[in-house]
Amino acid sequence: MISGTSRDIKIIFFKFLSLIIISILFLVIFVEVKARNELALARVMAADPLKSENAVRHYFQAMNWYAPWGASQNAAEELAALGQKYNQTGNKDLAYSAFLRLRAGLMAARSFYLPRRELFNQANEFLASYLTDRKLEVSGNQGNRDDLYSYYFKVYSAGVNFSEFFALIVAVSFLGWIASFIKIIGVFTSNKNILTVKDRYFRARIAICLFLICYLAWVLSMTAA
Amino acid sequence: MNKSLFKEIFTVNYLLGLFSLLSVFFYVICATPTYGFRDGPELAVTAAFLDVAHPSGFPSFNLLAKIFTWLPLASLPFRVTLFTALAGGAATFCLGLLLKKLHNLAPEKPSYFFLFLPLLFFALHQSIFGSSIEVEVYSLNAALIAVLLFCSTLWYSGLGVVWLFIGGFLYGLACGNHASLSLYLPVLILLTFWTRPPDEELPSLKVHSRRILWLAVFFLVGLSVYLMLIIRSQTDRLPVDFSRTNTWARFWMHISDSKDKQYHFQGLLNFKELFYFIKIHFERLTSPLFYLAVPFILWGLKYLWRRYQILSVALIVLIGINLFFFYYWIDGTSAFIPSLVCFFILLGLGLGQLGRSIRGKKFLPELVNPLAVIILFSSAFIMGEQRYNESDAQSGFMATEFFWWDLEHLPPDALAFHSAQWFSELALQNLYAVRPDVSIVFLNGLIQPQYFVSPVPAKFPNLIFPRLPDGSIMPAYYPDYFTHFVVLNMDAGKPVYIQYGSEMGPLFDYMVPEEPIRFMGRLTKDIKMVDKSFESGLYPKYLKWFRRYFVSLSLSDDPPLASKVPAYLMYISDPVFLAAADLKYYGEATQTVETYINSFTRNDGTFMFPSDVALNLHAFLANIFRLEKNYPKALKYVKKLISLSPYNANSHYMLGLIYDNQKMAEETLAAWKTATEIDKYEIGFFYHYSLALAKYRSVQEAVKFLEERAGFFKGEYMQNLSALALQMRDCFLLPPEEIGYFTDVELMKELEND
Repeated sequence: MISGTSRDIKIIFFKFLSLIIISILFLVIFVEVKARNELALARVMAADPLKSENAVRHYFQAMNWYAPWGASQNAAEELAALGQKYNQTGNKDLAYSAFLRLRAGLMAARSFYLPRRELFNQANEFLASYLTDRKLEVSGNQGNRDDLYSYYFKVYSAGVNFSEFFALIVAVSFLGWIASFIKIIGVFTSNKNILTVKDRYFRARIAICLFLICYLAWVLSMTAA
Repeated sequence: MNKSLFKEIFTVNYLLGLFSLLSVFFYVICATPTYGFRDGPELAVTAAFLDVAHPSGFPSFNLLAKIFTWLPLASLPFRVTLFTALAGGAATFCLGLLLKKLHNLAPEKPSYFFLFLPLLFFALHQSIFGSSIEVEVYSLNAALIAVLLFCSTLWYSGLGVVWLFIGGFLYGLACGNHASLSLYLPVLILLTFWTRPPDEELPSLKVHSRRILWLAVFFLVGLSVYLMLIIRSQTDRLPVDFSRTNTWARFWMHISDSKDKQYHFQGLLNFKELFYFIKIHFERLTSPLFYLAVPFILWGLKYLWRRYQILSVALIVLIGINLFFFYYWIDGTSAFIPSLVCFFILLGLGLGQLGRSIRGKKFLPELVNPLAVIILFSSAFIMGEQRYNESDAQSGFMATEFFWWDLEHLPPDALAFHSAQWFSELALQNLYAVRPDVSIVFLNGLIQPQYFVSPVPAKFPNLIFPRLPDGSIMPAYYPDYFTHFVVLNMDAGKPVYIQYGSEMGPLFDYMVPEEPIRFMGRLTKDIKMVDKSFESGLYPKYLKWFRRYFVSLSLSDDPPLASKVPAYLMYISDPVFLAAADLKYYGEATQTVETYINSFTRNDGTFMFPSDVALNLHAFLANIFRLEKNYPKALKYVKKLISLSPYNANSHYMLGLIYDNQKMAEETLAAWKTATEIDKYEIGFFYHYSLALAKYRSVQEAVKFLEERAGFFKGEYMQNLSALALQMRDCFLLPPEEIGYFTDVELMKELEND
């Protein structure tokens, strides 16, 4: 036997959960459909040697509809293979374009992690080599090739200078101080005829502590992110 | 499922949630695949890096949108768009809750059909829709305004003062989403001072004062979200260089948008124009159902006046403030979202009254009737599909490709300057990390250091920075800083690339002291162009293609094409024209722009493109004809420019430039004086006016002017004075502590040679 209040809470929870599940399902299906469409276009273009540049663009667009599985992953693998093929057939400029987009697609899909690290490294190796050649060509072969290669590989392999971990603390503590402050307002403004100020402080002590901790964490983590 | 549970689930609030979710689905389907234009790429970057965006910084937006950037679906910019889409849905939901509450103020409730009908129009209104399908702050603005009014209504309904205080706290946070919301403080004051729940006795002065005090405290706690700007500005690594708000002066300038204040307060100078624009805004905001909606809006106002008088007054005040403050943005309807929310509240109440009056007729279904649900949701689908067809989703992709081309083809280790419009490139570099070996420097940070952030060694370790004789880093406001910066890096073997165009078009470019710009002109001829179309001499053909395309669009029978200029074209064509001018294809460029204007001008003389594009184009023509020494035509376009925007200081600056080229002393001085009076913060105007005073009258008069009108920052004043000293070859115009910089023989020689 459940009480009326707890039944109401369960119904609200059920409604809320169902809306979230529907939304996530919709989003996943939408992203996958978009990725598949772009991938199909990319494959058609890749089959035509005159449309190689467009094939690279469509593979990149498919990667922009990233999901940890499915069409976007296939697009990344096929783009890497395409870049490799162009490289082997001596079409360095197209290979450069393909690897640049492969790397950019992976970077734009990053979250707390960078997906497909092995493809990312493969792209960096080619790009470092390509840029080294271009640099030597522009400067009239001034400079050591190995040094230049190491430099570009290091520049391209370096991640973004931003801490997602501290950013997570910023976001969580931001939501935390908003929620706890609303709780504090609620405690101090409700049941005014029943509770004394002391009672209110007692009731709100957890919210006040949470607010102070969250606010402090918010400020400090912003300096570190 | 039993019958009671079915009824429970299909309560109005749940249907409201589903309805709002449906609008979110539409927004997501129509969302631009990358990040749109202008503010879009910038805000996507600031959200991803918790950065300081353009004024007013938008900390609440960035902090909330950041959470979505971790979603392991789609790309980083699209994740931020998801947040704006969700905010759009939340706006519809909150407006629905508010309308429901206001309907309940009357004893007889209308059919809920009349609750959902205005929400349908609201969710798919051009402004809400447009703000929800790309990265923008306005959909969140709409949601927050609806929430604030909802809190006030809950208090008024007798649900406790807690809602007033929560409203005050949320108002502080809302001001953190867009500082312009702080302008609506009179609305909050009205609602707080003159609202009293029906069952509450008249509070004593003591209670009233205490309530106000607490409300102010809660508001300030919410407003403290702006700490984010100050704290994040302490780091040198942030990608966007709009401002580092780490001093009080810079912080205040940023959140109050001092740089662009001339656009906000023109109404103070010209009331006639203000009322004309307000009329247009009313029409556009309620378009296309303006004349149909007006009776219902008035009916809704009457309903509210009888039941919640102060809210009706508050809504009118809110609309008034909104229209007055933003009236310059005649085509940018997103700035009028606060008014739009108010209109839809009144429209919804008016429709509710209609529902009450025909309730007895029994021919309109209740919402629980499946037929009504089907009608509403089908209408949503039909209207949503129409919006989808109208939306220019692919344009975002095209614009990205346009900028990608440049970035991909830059030589290794290049130094690329970009200006405000080129945030797209900044987003490519930071969200996609396309070319980590290339240094992208914000051009405005070098030539307008009083507003923007100058590059620093910590952020650009590969670049070389000019230094003073004592070894310290040369301040960016130093005369010819830009020249030094570019020369040093070119000497170090860095290929330099300067993007064409900026937010304000050619007028903006020529607003800064002329020497750096002339230098830029030389530079663009010297460096190797990365765009192959430049190298192969295809540019005139390119322009010809543009002209043909504009004419074909204007002649097209296809309504979507004929009724609007594709968004990507507006923004791409601007830099194309600039590039044409820089390559000295003056004739081709002016011919193309004139074709553009003619093709997209309606019979009544109004333009199909936004007003800022109109300003850019006329400024462009005026400037090119000036460069060609075709002064009558230059004057024709600059006068048109002034008629389009009489209180725009840039227009008067351009007028003065044309007169100055013709050595017309008094006219030059008058035009530039007007420019300095309209915009008291723009360094370029002060520089040019003081130079003209020195040239046409006396150096003493010029120095006196600069001393009297010392700028917002010391740097600004010093730059003007230093520039004047350099121009007059008289370093003793400078204060003694600054002369030291000029006593270095080598530096002086270098400056003289330039």
